[in-house]
Amino acid sequence: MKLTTRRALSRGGLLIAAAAIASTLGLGTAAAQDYPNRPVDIVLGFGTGGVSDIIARTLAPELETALGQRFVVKNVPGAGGTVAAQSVSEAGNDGYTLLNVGASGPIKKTLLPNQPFDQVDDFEPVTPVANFGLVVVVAPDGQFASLDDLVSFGRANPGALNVGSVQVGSTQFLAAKLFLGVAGIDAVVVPFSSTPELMGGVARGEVDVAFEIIPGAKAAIDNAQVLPVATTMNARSALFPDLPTVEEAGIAPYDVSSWNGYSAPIGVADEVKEKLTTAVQTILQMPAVKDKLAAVGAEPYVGTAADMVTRQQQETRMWEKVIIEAGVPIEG
Amino acid sequence: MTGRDLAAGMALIVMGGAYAAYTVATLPVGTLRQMGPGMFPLGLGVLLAALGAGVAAPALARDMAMPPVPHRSLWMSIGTVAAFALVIPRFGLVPAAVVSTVIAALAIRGSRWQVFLPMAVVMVPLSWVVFVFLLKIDIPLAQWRP
Amino acid sequence: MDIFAQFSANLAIGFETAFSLVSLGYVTLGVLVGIFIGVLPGIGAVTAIALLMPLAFQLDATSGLILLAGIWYGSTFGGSITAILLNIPGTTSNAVTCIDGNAMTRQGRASLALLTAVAASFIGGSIGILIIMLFTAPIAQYAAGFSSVEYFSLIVFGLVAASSINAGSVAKGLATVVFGVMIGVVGTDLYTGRGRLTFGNLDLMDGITLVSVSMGVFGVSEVIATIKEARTRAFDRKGITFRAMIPTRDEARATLGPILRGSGVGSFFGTLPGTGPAIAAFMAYAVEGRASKNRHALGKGAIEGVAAPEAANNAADMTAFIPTLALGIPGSATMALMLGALIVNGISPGPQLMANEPELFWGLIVSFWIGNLMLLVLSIPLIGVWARLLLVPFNILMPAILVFICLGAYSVSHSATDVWLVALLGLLGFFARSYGFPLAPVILGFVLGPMLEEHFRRAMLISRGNFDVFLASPVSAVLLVLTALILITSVWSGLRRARQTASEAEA
Repeated sequence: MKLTTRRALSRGGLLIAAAAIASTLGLGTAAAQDYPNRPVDIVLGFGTGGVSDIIARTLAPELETALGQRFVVKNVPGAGGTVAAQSVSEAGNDGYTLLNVGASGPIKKTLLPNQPFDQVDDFEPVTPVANFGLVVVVAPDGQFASLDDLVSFGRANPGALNVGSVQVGSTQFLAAKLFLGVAGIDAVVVPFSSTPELMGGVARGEVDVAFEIIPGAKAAIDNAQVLPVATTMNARSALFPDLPTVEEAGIAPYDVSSWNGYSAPIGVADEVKEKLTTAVQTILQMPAVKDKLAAVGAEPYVGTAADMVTRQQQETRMWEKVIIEAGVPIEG
Repeated sequence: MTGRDLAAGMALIVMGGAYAAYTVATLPVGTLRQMGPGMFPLGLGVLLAALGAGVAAPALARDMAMPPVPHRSLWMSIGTVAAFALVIPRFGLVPAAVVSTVIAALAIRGSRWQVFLPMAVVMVPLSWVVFVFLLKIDIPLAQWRP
Repeated sequence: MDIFAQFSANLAIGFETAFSLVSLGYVTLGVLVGIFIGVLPGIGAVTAIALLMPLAFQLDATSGLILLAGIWYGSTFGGSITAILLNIPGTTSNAVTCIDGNAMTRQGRASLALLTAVAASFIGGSIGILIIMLFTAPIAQYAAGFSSVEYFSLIVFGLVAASSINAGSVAKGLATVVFGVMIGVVGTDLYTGRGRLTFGNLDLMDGITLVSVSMGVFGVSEVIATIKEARTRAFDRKGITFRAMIPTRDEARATLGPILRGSGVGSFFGTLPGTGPAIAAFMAYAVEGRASKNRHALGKGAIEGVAAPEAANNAADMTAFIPTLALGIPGSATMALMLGALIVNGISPGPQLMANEPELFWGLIVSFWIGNLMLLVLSIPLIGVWARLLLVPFNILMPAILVFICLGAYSVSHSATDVWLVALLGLLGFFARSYGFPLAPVILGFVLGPMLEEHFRRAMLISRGNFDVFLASPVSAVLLVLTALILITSVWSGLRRARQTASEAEA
């Protein structure tokens, strides 16, 4: 009985309503004012070693210094993040259990409409954390030296180009599909199982070009295994200030990046959100932290929880369109 | 016409056939140029069935005894794992370790309560030390979520 | 001469780093945890390393890597202990050691098998380390040139070669490989993102975990079979005395060739991304099956069947670092974790690593050797202790193993589905075993199957559906011809054997 109630409440509207009532009644604000008064968990739906994990482990000790409580990074892999989402959902919306969310949330809303937990609808943003730009890479001594070369070849030879990316349904894969759509190029997108595989595929010439997030491609770029030719955001990346954006190469509109942030079950007190956002944003501007982020290929995601909400909504609409137009199969 | 390899080969044919049939029923196969998700599994199912025929065919000529099935140890061992799978998500580590140790001990012919009840008591702290304390795996000791 | 001077200067840096008290401490800790993890069924090196990653993150890159590496090769050795004594491979690298290692145990020669494993591990590891030092650059370049076409053929070659090892039927060996590939395919399709053969179960979208497969197919089926036998056989205490450990001169001589061959095979397969120690061990066993003078005894408790794979998997553990350290391209999940420990400390892996971080590279290399020496020192005096595992009354050991198997499977992702799979695969594994199927190829098929499909489909996608690419590449063509030859000779010798037994039966 208890469980069915909780289950029903964890779904969208009802809880928003309940939270609205709670906040008008002033419930929970007293608790929110002395937040945090016990350790806070940051839950990640994947194992250790990834870029979001590294960032969380960089932030945790600084958050402890800033807010006076331990921040514990917990890796809870399983069922594509569902296990982590479930554990955070059950822990409640007091702000002591945060879920790492990212660019895959808006994509999965369309691709996996039946997933038991949905990062966008079942949780609400607490603080944005980092942006990961995407980079377009080619072989260092191959036939293409710039994005222009690639685009003109691709347009002149329909069906000839091989474009590499990681998993179908990832930001990188959809970024490639969106690029081909906007540029009007007919090419084959070849998926690879991992970033190192993909970078090797580019270096060997198995694929002509690849789309990858900067944290993934950084090592291969630094080793000159692959050559970066463009970044994908609407402004140049601070990490590659000399690289043109895709839009500068005349493929517009095109603005894609990956990102991460922390969310919690719906109904987190505004004080908690503000406290965490302020702390995280301050830490992100510390030189040592900025350097560590830059070393893994990430940039601070400057903004508020409300910005993250807007971004989730925009990206949900954008990717839905790409997924349907490119005919990516939907798991229904 | 009975025999070990004949039965094994038949089982492979059935398994391969079922796998291929389920694949075709649920996944598009596509063409060689644009392979669908079902192409590779379909090939595997067919290949397993063919190998099953390869196992069964020579067996037609000779007679091999069927291996005996040790019913008690087989079903008690499988039951141990199944009981663990049922209990741990609902009731946590302690009940799961107790129940599975008791069932596992029942698999041994002649094992007595006086031996394996204390065993169950030893296994619980041991599992806790290894998995929760040393390896830091986050499993609740006991909970109630039937 | 110049090269030699350079080399000794590098080694001096390495010794200086590795012989610091801190480094020695982490090597010891890593190796001990590794052996323990290896002995414990259910937890492989990858899981253990993943679980200890947070600890490694707190350390500097060199210490962290030394610790993780110690767990990695320590667990391979620890796994050989359970493989030999209990017929349960502690890690997948030891699957093939079970065959002859456990047969030796049943013959009362457990101590000799363990000593052989220790010695082979040490020699194999040392040779692997030498190869890292000498050949890092050229070997990595060679492997990096492979495209999907060559990888596909290499995997086919590996699968066929490995499954034709067993003395029994080729069809049965291939069937178990295919079964492994079949369960490896379950989960999200890389090329379309669709769930395949998941029966609508969300847990299966991520695929079946290796832990469930190895614990079910090997662990549970072994427990069932052993209980069955427990009534008829008592453990032979005689085989486990300290004196029984010392090999006769003939036995010592018999292991030398297999150890050297195994080290060579292991060093080669360790460097290839995606192959690693498990396949190295299989391949070394396959090579013994063809090259050993004593090949007819393989599978029946031959010392060569322990020496070759144990030398190979330890050599491969070492040389697996070559692509990771030289190109920054990990070849396996474990190596990807090692790379993560580097990156978190702000070290950019790649060809410049050896030049930029000589303390890290050479310190790590020397720590490998210290670790291997430590395995030798820790295990020989303790062999009696390890062997005593056999003397534990079975009705105590058996429930303990089953419960640890369940916990190990559950701990991977807190999923009851993983435990249910252990039950199902245990049932299938038990029947397969009693119907005369070799079980080890299941793991090989399971691990390599998804890669086989990925490379096949990628090669076909890039060639636009043209099969000729597999013969157009010389490397691929040679591998495929070799595969065909292995298949033909295995089938032919199988038929001849069958005809012989038939005519003997008639006579």
